[in-house]
Amino acid sequence: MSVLAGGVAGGLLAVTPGIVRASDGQGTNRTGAPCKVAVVFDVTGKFDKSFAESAWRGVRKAREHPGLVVRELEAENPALRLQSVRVAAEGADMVITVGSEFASAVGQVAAEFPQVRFTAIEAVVSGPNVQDVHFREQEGAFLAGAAAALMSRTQILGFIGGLDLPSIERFQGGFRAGAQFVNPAVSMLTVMAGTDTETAFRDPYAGYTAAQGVMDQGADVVFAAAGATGLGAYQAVADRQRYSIGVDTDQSDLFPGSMLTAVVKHVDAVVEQAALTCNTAQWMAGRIDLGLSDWSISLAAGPESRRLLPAEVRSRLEQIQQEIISGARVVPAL
Amino acid sequence: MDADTLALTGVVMAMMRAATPLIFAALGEVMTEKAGVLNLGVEGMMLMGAVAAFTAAVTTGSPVLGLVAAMLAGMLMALLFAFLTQTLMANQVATGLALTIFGVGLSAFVGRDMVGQTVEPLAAIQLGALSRIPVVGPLLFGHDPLVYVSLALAAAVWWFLRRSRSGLVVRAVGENPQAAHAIGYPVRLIRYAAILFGGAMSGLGGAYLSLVYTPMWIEGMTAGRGWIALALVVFASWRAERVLLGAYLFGGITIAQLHLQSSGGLAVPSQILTMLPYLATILVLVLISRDETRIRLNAPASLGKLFHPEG
Repeated sequence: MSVLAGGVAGGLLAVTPGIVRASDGQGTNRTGAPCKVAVVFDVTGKFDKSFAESAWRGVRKAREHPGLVVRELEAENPALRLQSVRVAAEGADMVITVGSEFASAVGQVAAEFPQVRFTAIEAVVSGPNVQDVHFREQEGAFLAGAAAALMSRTQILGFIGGLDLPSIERFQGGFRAGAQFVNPAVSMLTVMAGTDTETAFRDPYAGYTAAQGVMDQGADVVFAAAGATGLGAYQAVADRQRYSIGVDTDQSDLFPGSMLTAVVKHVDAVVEQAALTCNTAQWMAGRIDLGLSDWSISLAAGPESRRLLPAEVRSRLEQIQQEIISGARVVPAL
Repeated sequence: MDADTLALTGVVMAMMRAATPLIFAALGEVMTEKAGVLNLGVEGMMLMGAVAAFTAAVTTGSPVLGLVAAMLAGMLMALLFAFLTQTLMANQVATGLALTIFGVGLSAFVGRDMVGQTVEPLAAIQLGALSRIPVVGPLLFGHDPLVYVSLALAAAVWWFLRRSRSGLVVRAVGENPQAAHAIGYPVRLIRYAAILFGGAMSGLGGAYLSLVYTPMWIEGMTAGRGWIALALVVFASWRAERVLLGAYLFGGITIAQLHLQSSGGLAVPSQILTMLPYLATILVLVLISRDETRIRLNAPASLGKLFHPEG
C-alpha cells in the first residue's frame, strides 16, 4: 500500500494510528455515562490551515461518536496555558493538549487531577496519568527532501521554519537528509522566521519575506514548516512560479501549480483516536512515537501532487517510503 | 547584473515593504500623540483593519474597497477609544491597552470565516520600461501603490504639522490644551479628529498585511507590529520625517535578520537582532530625556493627560 500511488487517501483513517494498545477493540466503557473530553489549543488558535487545524478536525470527528462529549479551549496567550489546562481538567475525564508548549502546564495539572487522563500532543511530559504523543516528522520530511532534490534544477533548496522548536528541527533535519540522500550535491538554505512562540507561527508576512530571501539566493524548491507563517512563504514561492512543499495538512489546493506535496501529520486521527480511549482500557500512559509506518505521517498525494511530480519521481519516493516503513532505512531524529 | 546585485536589490525592496505598514501606523500615532493623546490600541486597530480589508476584498472583489473598509474599521475602533477617553474621561493608557486586547479578540471572531479564503493581491505598479532599468528601476518604480502612498503621507504629515496653521493648532492642543481652549479652539473636537486619523492609518497599515503580497487573513497576523509602531513614534521623537527613517531601520532589521540567516552569514542569534529596535528606542528615550529643551521641542507636553474643558 502506498500513499504516493494515491490509493489510500480515503482509507487512511481506517488504519488505526498506533496510539492505542492492541487489544479487544473499542466499546469497553467502564460506565454508561458519556465520557468528557476537553481539548486545549495553543495561542495560535485553531485555524492555521496546518497543525492546529488538523487537530480541530479531529475534535469534530470525535464529536460524532456517541458516548463522547468534547469541548475545546484556547489558551489566549502564553501566560494562560496553565490556567487553560486546569480549566479543561475540571469536570473532564480526559484532557488533550495540542502543541509542544503545554509541557509544564500538563505536568503540573496532571498531578492536581490524578483521576483525569492527559494526552499531550508534541509536549515532552510524563506522569502516571500522562500520555505524550510525538511524531517522527523527520520521516515525512526525508521523503519531502528527496522529492525536492529530484525536482530542483538549481540544486539549492530552501527551508523555512517557524521557530527552532524540536519538532521543527526534526522537519529540518529530515528534509536535509532526504535531499542529500538522493543527491549529495544539493545544498539547503535555512531560515527560522520567528523568535517567539506567540508570533512565530502566525506571521505570513515574515514567511513571505523569508521565502523571498532563500529564492534570491537561488533556492527553487522551498519547504516551510511554520504553521500560518508558512502560508506567506508558499505565496511568495507561487508568485515566483517555483515549487513549495507544505506541512501538516495538504494545502496544495491553495497554491495550485506550485505546491508539490505536503508532509501531512495526521493530528486529526490522533486526536480522534485518543478521544475514543477516553474511558477504555486501551489508553496507556507514557511516550508514544508515531511515523510513516503507522500512517500518522505521510506525504500528500492529491491530484496536484500526481500532476506535478513525474511518475519516476513518485516511484522513487515510494521505494524510499517502503524502506523507511520496513525499517531498512532509519531516519535519525536530528 | 550579477546575482549578488539582484539579491541586494531584492533585500532593499523587501525592507521598504516591511517598513510600509509601520509607516502608516506610526504616522497615525504621531498625529494622535501630537494632539496630546496616547493611544496604545494601535495593534488592535491594525488587526481590525487587516480583517476588514480582507473581508471587504473577498466580498466585493475589489482590493481598493478593502483599503477603504480598513480605514473605516480603524476609525470605528478609534472612535470607541475617543469616546471613552475624551468624552467619558477614561484613563488613556488603560483604555488603549484594552483596545488592543479587544481588537485581537474581535478580529479573530469576525474573521473566522475568512481563514483560508483567497483574493487577488493589490498589484505592483508596472511602469513598463522604467521598472526594467537595472537596480534603480525596481527600487524606484517597482513597488505596490501603497509604498508610494506611505511616502507621500509622511511628507503630508510633516507639512501639516510643521508648516500649516491647522497643524500648529493640533500641536497647541497637545502642548497646552487649556491655553488652546481659552483662545477658543475646540480641543475635544480636534483630539477626536486626530484620534480618528490615527485609527484610519492603523487600519491602512493592517490592510497592507492582509491585502498586499500575502492576501490572507490569519488570527493575530500583525504579530506585534502595532507595538513596534508605538516604539517607532518615540524613536522618531514625534517627527514624521524621522518616522520614515526609523521605519526603514526597524523594518530593515527584521528583513536583514531573515536574509542573513538564509545566506548563512548570521553570527548572532536572530533573537538579538529583533531586539535591536527596542534597544534603539530605549536609547533614544534616554538621549532625549537628558536634555530639557529637546523634550520640550519634541514630546507633546500634555501627552496622555486628561483635559476637562471646564477646568
